[in-house]
Parts: sequence; C-alpha cells; structure tokens
Amino acid sequence: MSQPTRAVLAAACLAIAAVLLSISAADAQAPKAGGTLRAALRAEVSTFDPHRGASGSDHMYLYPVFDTLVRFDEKLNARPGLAESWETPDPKTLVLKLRRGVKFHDGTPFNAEAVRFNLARAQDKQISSMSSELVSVQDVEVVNEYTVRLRLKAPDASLILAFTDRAGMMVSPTAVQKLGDQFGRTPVGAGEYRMARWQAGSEVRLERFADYYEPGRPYLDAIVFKIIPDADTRVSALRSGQVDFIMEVPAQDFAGLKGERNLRALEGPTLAYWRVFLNTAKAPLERKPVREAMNLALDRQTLLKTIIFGLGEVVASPFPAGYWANNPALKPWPYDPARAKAKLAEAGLPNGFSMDMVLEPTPEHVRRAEAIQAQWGAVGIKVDLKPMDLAKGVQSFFRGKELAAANYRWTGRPDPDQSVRAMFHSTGFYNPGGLKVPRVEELMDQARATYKLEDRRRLYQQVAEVVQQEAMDIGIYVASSLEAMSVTVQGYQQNFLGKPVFRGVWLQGK
Amino acid sequence: MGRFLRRRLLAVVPLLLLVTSMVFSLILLLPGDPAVALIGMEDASEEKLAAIRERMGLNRPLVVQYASWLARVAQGNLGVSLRTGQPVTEAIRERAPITLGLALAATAFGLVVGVPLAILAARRRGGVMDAAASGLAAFGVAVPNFWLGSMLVLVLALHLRWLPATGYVSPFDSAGDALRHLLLPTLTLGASAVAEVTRQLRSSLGETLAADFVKTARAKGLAEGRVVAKHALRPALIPVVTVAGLTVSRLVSNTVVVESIFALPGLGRLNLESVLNRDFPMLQGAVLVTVLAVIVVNLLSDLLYGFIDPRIRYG
Amino acid sequence: MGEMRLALRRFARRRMALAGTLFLALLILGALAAPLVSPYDPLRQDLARMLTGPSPAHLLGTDDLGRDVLTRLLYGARLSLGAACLAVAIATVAGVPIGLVAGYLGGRIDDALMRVIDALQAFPALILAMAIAAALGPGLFNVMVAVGVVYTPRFARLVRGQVLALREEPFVESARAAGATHARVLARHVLPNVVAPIVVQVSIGVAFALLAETALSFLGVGIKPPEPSWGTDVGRGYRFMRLAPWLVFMPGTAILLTALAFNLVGDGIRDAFDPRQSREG
Repeated sequence: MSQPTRAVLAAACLAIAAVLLSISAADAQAPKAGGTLRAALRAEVSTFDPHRGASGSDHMYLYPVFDTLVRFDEKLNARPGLAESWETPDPKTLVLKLRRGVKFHDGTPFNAEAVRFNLARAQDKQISSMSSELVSVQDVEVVNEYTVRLRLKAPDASLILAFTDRAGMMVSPTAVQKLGDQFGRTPVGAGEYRMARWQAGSEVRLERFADYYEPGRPYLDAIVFKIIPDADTRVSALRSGQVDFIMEVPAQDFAGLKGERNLRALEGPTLAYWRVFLNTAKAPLERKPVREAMNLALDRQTLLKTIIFGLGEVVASPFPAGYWANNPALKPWPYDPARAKAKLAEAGLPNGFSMDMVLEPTPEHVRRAEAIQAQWGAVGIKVDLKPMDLAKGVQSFFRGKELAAANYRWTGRPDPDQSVRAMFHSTGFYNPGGLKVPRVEELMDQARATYKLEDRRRLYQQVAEVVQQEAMDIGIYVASSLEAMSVTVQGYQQNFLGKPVFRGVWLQGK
Repeated sequence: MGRFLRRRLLAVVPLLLLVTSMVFSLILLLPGDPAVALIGMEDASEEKLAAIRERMGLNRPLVVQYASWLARVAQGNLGVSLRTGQPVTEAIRERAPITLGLALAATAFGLVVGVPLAILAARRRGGVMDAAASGLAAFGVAVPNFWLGSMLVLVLALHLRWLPATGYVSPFDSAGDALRHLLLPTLTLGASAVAEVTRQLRSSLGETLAADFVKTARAKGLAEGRVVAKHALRPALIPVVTVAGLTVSRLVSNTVVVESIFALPGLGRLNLESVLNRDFPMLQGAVLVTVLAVIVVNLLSDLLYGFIDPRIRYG
Repeated sequence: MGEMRLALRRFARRRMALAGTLFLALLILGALAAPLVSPYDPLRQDLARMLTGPSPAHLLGTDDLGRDVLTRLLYGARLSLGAACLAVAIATVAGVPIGLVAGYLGGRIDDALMRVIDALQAFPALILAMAIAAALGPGLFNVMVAVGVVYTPRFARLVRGQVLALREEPFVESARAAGATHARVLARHVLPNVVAPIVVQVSIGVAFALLAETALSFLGVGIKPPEPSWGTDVGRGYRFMRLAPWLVFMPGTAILLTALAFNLVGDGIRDAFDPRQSREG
C-alpha cells in the first residue's frame, strides 16, 4: 500500500490502542466484586472468641469477622465504626451513638443492648483476657436503642482507641448464649465476613456476609487464611501462586520479592519496635549512668543495616515517626562507645559488669541478640544470652523477675496510654523492676484524663523526652512491616499495627 | 504359627507398659510452668493460671496422673494442645499420613535403588561395583541428613530452580505439584535408606552367594539370574527384614529433620514443634504414637521373619 | 601383648582406616590448638563484612554477623567433638555395667534390665534425644546427657552379648572354682575380653553422637548461642543459603568427614582384632 495510507493505518492503530489502554486503566481503578483471597499467615488463630483470646496473632482472623465500635485508619487514628459518633458531655461520661441497620451474621440486630452485653462480657474477669482495658468503666447504660452511656470511675481517653481492638469487638449475644463454649470455634459477629470453615492446623475460610450494612461490600467472595508458620514456605507459596498474600516476609528475601514482576512488596512503619526490657531491680541497672551507657554503646544504624538489611528505622521515642503521638524533635541516642565507658566509670564500674538477657530461641532473635551482645561487650558489659521459649521467658522475666534483661519486641497497643503505662509506669507489667519516675507518671495520668487529641499529643511528646532523659528505655529500631502480594490484589493498605486488615480489598482479573 | 503369634504379641505388652510410662514421666521432667504456655506475651492473672492447672489436673499425685492418662489414651483421648486447643488425636490424624507417605516413598526408593546395587556389588566381590557400593553405604551412614537436604535444596531448588524448596501440597489438590514438592524430601530421606539396604543386603547376599547350596545350583547349570533370584535372595532377605526394625527407627528419626527443612506438616515435625512450644499434651501424644508405630512395624517384621524362616518359628 | 601388635599391623594395612585416623589426628590437633591457630576470635563480629565469601582475609568466608567461618569451624570442633565424646562416655559408663550385670547374672535381673533397654531402644533416637534435651533445657551438658542416654542400650546389648558368650568359657568357671567373687571374675577375666568390641563401639558411637548432637543443634534444641558448634552454624546458615551457601557447606562437610572417619576407624579396629568379621561392615 502507499505511504500515506500506511501512515493513516498506523495512526489509527495507535489511537485504538490508546483508547483500549485508557479503558483498561480506568477499569483498573474501579473495584471488582468477586474472587477468593488466599492469604498465608504465620500463626493459627487461638480462638475466635475475641474476649477469651489473648494472642496477638489472632487479630488478622478477627478483624474480618467482628466489626468494632471504633475503627482505625492506617495511622491508627480513630474513625467511626459500629459507633457512628461519640462524645463526652463530662469527663466521666462517654456516650456512644450507634449505627443503625446493622445485623449480626445470625440476623440478631445490633443495638445498645448488644453493646451492653458485650462490654459486660469484656469486663468479666472469669472470661475476658483484657478486662483491665475497661477497668475505668463503672457501668453501661442503655439510653435508647441506639445510644449507650458509659459512666467512668475516672476520665479515660484510652477507651476510644481501646474500642478499636478486642474490647470493642461486638459478638452476637444470641449466638453466645446458644453456643456457649463452642463460640470460639463458630463465631458470630457483625463483620464483613462470616466463618465458613476452620480446618485446625491448616486453614480458615471466611465467606462474604451478604447482609453487611455497607452496600456492595465486601468486594471479595471469600478469604482463605492458610497457616504457614515457616517463612521460607510462605515466600515460595507466594512465588508459586499458591497464595495471593503473605505477611512477615524475611528481610533477606524482601529485595528478591520486590524485583519480581507479578508481585508487589510493601514496606511500612509499625508501632512495634525492638527493645531491651530492663529489670531495674537487678543491680546495677537501677543506676541511670549505667542505662545511659547501655544506650550509648549501641550502634543502632549498623544493627538496622545488618540485622534487617535496612528495612526499618532507628527509634528515638516509644512511638514511630508518622504516628500522632510521636515526638519529631527527639533524636536517637548517638553511638559513642567512649562516652559509654565514661558513664560506666562514673557509675563506679570502670570494668563493666555482667548481666543475663532472655530472648526467643529462634535464629532471627539469636542473631540480633548476639550483635547486641558484641556491641555491649566492647564497652565491658558482658551479656549472658538465655534463649528460652516465649512463654517461659515471659514467666521468668516479667513475673518471676529472675533475670536482668529481655530482648523482645514491643508489639504496640491501640492507645498510647496502654503502651507507656505498661512500660514506664512503676506498676507496669512490662517494668518488672518497678522503676519509678514521678514526672513521667504525672504526664501519663494527665494524658489519659484529657480527651483533646492535641493536648494528649503534647503530653506524650513530653513523656518521650523524660523517658530519654532518664534512660528508661533501650529502644533499638522499628522493623518495618514487610508484606508481599500478587499484583492482582488491589485496595490493600498497610497499617501501623503491622497486622493485616483486608477491608476494602478486591481482586483484579480473577 | 499361632503359638508363635501369641507369644510374640504377649511379649509386647510389658514393652508397651514400660514405653508408655517412660513417655508419661518424660513430660514431667519439663521445667517451667506449663500453665503459662497458654498465655504468651499478654498479661494473665493468677486465677487464670490456677484454673488451667485445675483443668489439666496438674496438682494430683504422679501415679494417679499416669493411671488416668493411660486410661484416657486407651480410649483414644490424648488430650488437647495447650497451644491451639485442638484435640491431639485430630492433629496426629491430620499429620501422620504425610509422614507415612514420605516414609513409604523413602523406603521404596531405598529398595528400588539399594537392592539392584547390592546384587551388582555382591556378584563381583572386590570389583568396582562392590567398592562403590560399600563407599556409598559408608557415606550414607555418615552423612548428616540435614546437610544432604540443604545441599539438594541449594543445587536443585535454588540454583537450577527445577524443584520447589519447601512446602507441602496435598495430592488431592494437585498430584503433579504434590509430587514435585515430595521429590527432594524423598531423596534426602531415601539416601540413608539406600545406604542401610545396600550395606545389609550386600554382605548377607555375599555370604549366601558364596555358600555351598548356591555353588551347587550354579554347578547344576542354572543361569546366574535364576541362581540369585531363586536361591540366594530369599535367605538373604532375612537379615534385611531384621534390619527393617533399625531402619524404621532411623527413618522416623530422620523424618524430623527432613520435615523441618522442607516444611512438611508431618508427624516428625509435630514432635519438634511440641518440644519447642512446650506443648506437653501434644508432645506426649506425638511421641507415643511415633513409638507405637515403630513397635508395630518391628512386630510385623518379626512376624514376617518368622513366616519366611521356619527355623525361627519353632526355635 | 603380641596380639595387640598383630592387630596394629592389620589395622595399618587398611587404607581407609589409616586415612580416617590421619584425618582425626589432624582434626583433634587443630581443635586443641584452635586458640593458637585461628586467625580470629570466634565471637568477633564484623557487621560491615557479613556474608562475604572466601577471601584472603577470611579463608572460608564470614557468617551472618561477620564472624570468620574458619575460626568457628576450628572452635566448633572442640564443642561438637567434645560433646560427642562425652556423650559416648556417658553411654559407656551407663551401658557397660548394665550389660555386665545382665549378662553375668542372667535370669530375672537380666530379664528386667533388658526389658528397660528394649523400651529405650523402641524410641527413635532423635525423638528421644529431643525430648530429653528439651526437658533438661538448652546447653552443652544437657545435650550430652540426652544423646548418652539414647546410646546406652547399644553398649548394654553389646557387652551383654559378649558376657553371655564368655560366661560358659572354661577359664571363667575355673576362676569361680578357685574361689573368686563375682566382682573379681567380672573385673579380672570378663572385662578384658570385652574391651576390644567396646572400643569399636566407642568409635562408631562418637560418629553417631556427633550426628545426633549436630542434628539437635540444627533443629534448635541443642547448644545455645553464641557458642560455635557445627550443628548450630549449619542451622543458622540455612536461612541465608541463597546469599551465602558456604555457611551450610563448610560445617556440614566437616561433620560428614568426621563421622565418616570415626566409622572407618571403628571398622578398622574391628577388622584388626577379628578379621573373620570383616564382611559385616
């Protein structure tokens, strides 16, 4: 054919291609309904009963099944959930206005009566594992079908965010009464998905709840959680297409996954940070210069680069950057072994001292602890590593108070008050030596008593300053939450808790 | 045959009693508070711990605990996992077939490779095959199978990418995938099986082939193949069947490592996990079932032995 | 004594056994001299240089915390080999007397003892060792005890079998007739004749114990960090195999060669004392 004809033909082809591309691109934005998401999780759910369960690994399973009174966004700010709004007419009263038209999976309507049932159950010491979170609630009154009034013993701002977690998960009262102990295996909530099948040790299948109050949601037909404890197996399962989503990707595999064309690898900050818990009742840890020395002797940047291949951030405050309670002005401890030695001499220990440290026995934990051990060894602090399984470690260190230090990760809590109280209050469970700094406790109490976010933020920033001044914390780094998924998975967002939430997820091209 | 059977079965009873009491008492050696195993990093009250101790019966005297435990075991109740609350028998039932399949595959591999190898080696004493077979056997016994497994993974899965490195796919989901996932573990496990079979069969076959009755058969003009198959193999199999006991035990030990490396959710790995998790009902159950399986296999091989060799039956 | 010399000569004639002995001699020498010979401290970390391959500075490369692999291999020999030897020692000290008593006294005592031994042997070795090691807790000593207990039946049976055969021998009967006590007979007449098979079993036992200890450490039930042990190093290296395969290959090969050497030496000793049994293998 002639030249001009060819040119026109080519242009026409290009035009058609462009149109097609733009159509498919537009298509790519709109969520599609249908499909089953297969996600590989590290641990199996211990029980589907949100009040009885105590394991931090349960949440991924619970979120789809149980809607909470308050929802959290990716930065862990409070958002309306089953409670549309809330207000505090006076500091000791919290009024929740509930959403209408919500049903539990068994058809029971969700209302104030259900909320009262749930809160009573959550406060019941015989059943509940987290009754301590609701300790300030004196009584729960049903004002009308969709309004609940909580009378508090003392002002408690931590309640709102506590309601984004187990304390706020709503179970169907009729189901609980009917199923009793079996409820943990056949749960009934008001979430987007209902439980279809639980094959112990292998997988859990959740199916779409057709009567969910938000029309058109959820997008997926079903979610299947496959239990794959071994990290390498999770990675190869994703690679081979056996699953669509994996969590807790090992740091050394992350770069490899990022490079694969049909996979997407996400790295995001979390509240969880690695630290050394101290039992300040064990000499010489009660002396501030000793704790300062321990902080100065750690080369956090190198630890970050070598232990988790740089996939994280060095911490300066108990809350990471980007979190509302973070103190952006605070700088991490400098790496200064000479000054560390000087501090030890100042404390009367020029030749250093010995201490033991508990850790989990898995290779990742051992590796990190050995690196810390070597850095402290360089300034004369001789660490005797004591690997023991988590339960025994918790028992020996936090309850038995037998050992000097523990190298664990602080997994984070929905509300900052829960974190700082547990770690830095003299009565905190995670402060076994009972280190008491009155100023910090004052600030904490103030922050809990006010409901204004700005005030709370300011107070927590001050808490972080005092914590650093008094060297109460030996924080190391935040290990980024590493997750990977097939490119067909759309609409997924990481969150600061590091626990995957699949709300709003849809699958493309399935 | 009947009397032999009865005698053998009766002899197993005291063994079972001893074994079960050993399994039971082993767990009591565990230090640490098992009640805490349920809780983890979260806060838990003393009342909850006491309640769990009550539920598990951890406060009663030892003999009573053993007797009631044994009674429950006899009824098929092995308790529930401290970790997940799943009944132990259920967990074992789910995972045992995987280990069984793996063990059978490895044994088959061992026989398929080991028997011809042994025959070839025995036929020419002192020849190249003989030396190679004995070298292989020596290697197979000395090789740490976690190393062998790692090497296989390194070469075949990571470098050449022919096979997947870890994981288990049920044959019901995808036969092809299941096979691919089982190949490396079978090879690893089978290596020691090949070594054992070759070693035992080669020496016993060698003896038999040199024996008079075989010389007679050869003199009678029978073809070499028939000599081996008909006359030498049967008596030579006797020590192999005897070795089956040792082999099974060793094989089961090796499954722990192989299942660990290849992330197969089998019984061997269940033993390991329950040790690491301090999940003592699960550990008791897993160890018990494993040992019982070994005892049963030994018993069967004993009976088979008696069946093959009449001298044993009436001896 | 003439028998010893004869046995020695027979031993020297087997090439494999000699090779094994040579290897072990070098290994033990290296292990003992580790503090003098090693280029670095086994715990010395060089985080900036982690996971590097063999190089002039680090002949066998570095591990995941920048520690020198060669050094850890030498020091690991001390720990792993030491643990294996001591485990066998425990098995010997426990098993030999049991075997002696059972074989010599016979009857009910023999029955009872052998039943317990049978029960112990019914457990697959690694599973029993794992359970005991876990019960006692991590650490070198506990692993040794666990492996020792697992291996005890081997010695008990061996010695018992030997004693049963020897019991009927004329020299034993005459010793009894001369008025010697049981203990004396055992110590003076029986035991010396059992020594050779025990030595063979010890050699083979060390190979077994080494494989068992390293397997336990690999699985995470054995020696605790950061002590260098061949087994734990293989276990740690496994996670980085994609990036640094030498971490698994080096200690693993060391284990393999050492176990092989001990087996060959054991076979050699057996053949040296009783060439008729040479085909057992």
